[in-house]
Amino acid sequence: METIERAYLGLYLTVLVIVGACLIFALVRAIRGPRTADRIVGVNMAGTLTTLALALLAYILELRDVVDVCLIYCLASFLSVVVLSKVYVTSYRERSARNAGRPSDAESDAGEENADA
Amino acid sequence: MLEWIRFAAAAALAAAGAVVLCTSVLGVFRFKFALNRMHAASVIDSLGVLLIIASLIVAFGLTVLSLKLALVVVFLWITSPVASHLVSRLEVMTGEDLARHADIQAPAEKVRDERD
Repeated sequence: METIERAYLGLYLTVLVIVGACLIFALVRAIRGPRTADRIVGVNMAGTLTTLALALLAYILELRDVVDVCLIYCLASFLSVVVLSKVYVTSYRERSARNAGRPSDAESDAGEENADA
Repeated sequence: MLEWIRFAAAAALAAAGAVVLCTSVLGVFRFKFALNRMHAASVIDSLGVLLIIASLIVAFGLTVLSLKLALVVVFLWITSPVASHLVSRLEVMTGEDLARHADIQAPAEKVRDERD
């Protein structure tokens, strides 16, 4: 019985090390992604891998409450991706509307309403 | 003996999950375009999480805790397509040289936004 517990511990520690390495690579992709979508993909991957790492730590450390933290982290990671993409789409739309409105004579700086609609 | 069979099942699931994780990270670094990278990254959200959490459920046994772990998988399966949809919409709307990478016709939402 002692041997099998150590076997489970070694197995999940190995998987945890692999998850940590993948997490580092996901953060590298989030830092040096050339476009915004690459960065958000890296952030999404990092959130999912952190969820996995929390689930593994709940087994390794025998902390039963960490599974709840894992569930909440999953929610928060999804929310961060939604908010980031919404913010970037909105700012891009306002910027392009401003750039489109500048050459024409319409000097309205309202973001939503396009001048030539 | 039965415990060792259970350990072998958990180890096989965890090893398959680790292989899927490494494959997905490799794909994210090998592809050169954001939509292709998203395709590689979404493998973790569906298959990698499923395999590793199934391994943990086998190790824990069927308790309330494994129900919570299964709930994590279900939640990721619901939210990952939504997140992928939002990120791909961001890329299609803000991408300037999209036609060079992908065979996408004029982004319909951009046209609709300018018409509204």
